[in-house]
Amino acid sequence: MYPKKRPKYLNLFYLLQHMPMMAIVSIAHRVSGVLLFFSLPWLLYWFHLSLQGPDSYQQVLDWCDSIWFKGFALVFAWSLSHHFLAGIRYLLLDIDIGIEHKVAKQTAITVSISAVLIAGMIFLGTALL
Amino acid sequence: MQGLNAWLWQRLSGTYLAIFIFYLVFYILFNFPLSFSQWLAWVASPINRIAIGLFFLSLFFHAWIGGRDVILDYIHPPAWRFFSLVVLAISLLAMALWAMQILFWAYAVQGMIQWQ
Repeated sequence: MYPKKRPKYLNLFYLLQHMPMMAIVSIAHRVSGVLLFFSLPWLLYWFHLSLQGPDSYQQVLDWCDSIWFKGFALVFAWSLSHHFLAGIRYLLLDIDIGIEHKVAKQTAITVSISAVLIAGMIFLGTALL
Repeated sequence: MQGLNAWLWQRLSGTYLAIFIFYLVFYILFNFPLSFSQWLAWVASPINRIAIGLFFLSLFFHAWIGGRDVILDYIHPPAWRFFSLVVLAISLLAMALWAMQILFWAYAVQGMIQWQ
């Protein structure tokens, strides 16, 4: 046995490059949760306006055409779909479904890609409307 | 709310949120309310107004547990931690009251329309 080299330096950039997919899903679950929290007041405001009367209902629908709404929709769609899919993945992990390393890695990749695809589809949908 | 209780409630509220969002997405995709009266009738219908009320309660509760976990993990100085937890709690309570007011309003307006 050769003596261990101390102190040991961990390169943060090396760690980031070699971060497992599960860790990325976990961090993105937090980030998307925080983004969803900050989108709540706007969503409540639109829900409020949409129920005030026919005119304000139409105004909310008209706002869907604005560039601001489309930007919001892109971020919100990613946040919600990632939080939703990753949340279901955690619920399944809690009851020991997909707990093996190989499967957990596959579901992590599936969740991340699906969330981006769903966000892209919703963004294109609102852009084409 | 701490430990196993928080863990369990976070999962129960998350499950309800997932089911409700699935239901809402189906409604928007296949039965989009093209007029105000359709939208109001949907929101104020007996089952939906309870389901939406439960959705909001689950949502703000879920956001409280999740937001609290994030704050406890990243904000360490006691004064800042306390301040951010208070801001989180008050903003969630205020939004919960607002959501309930919107639902009562929708119920009342729908009732007026039916009464006339």
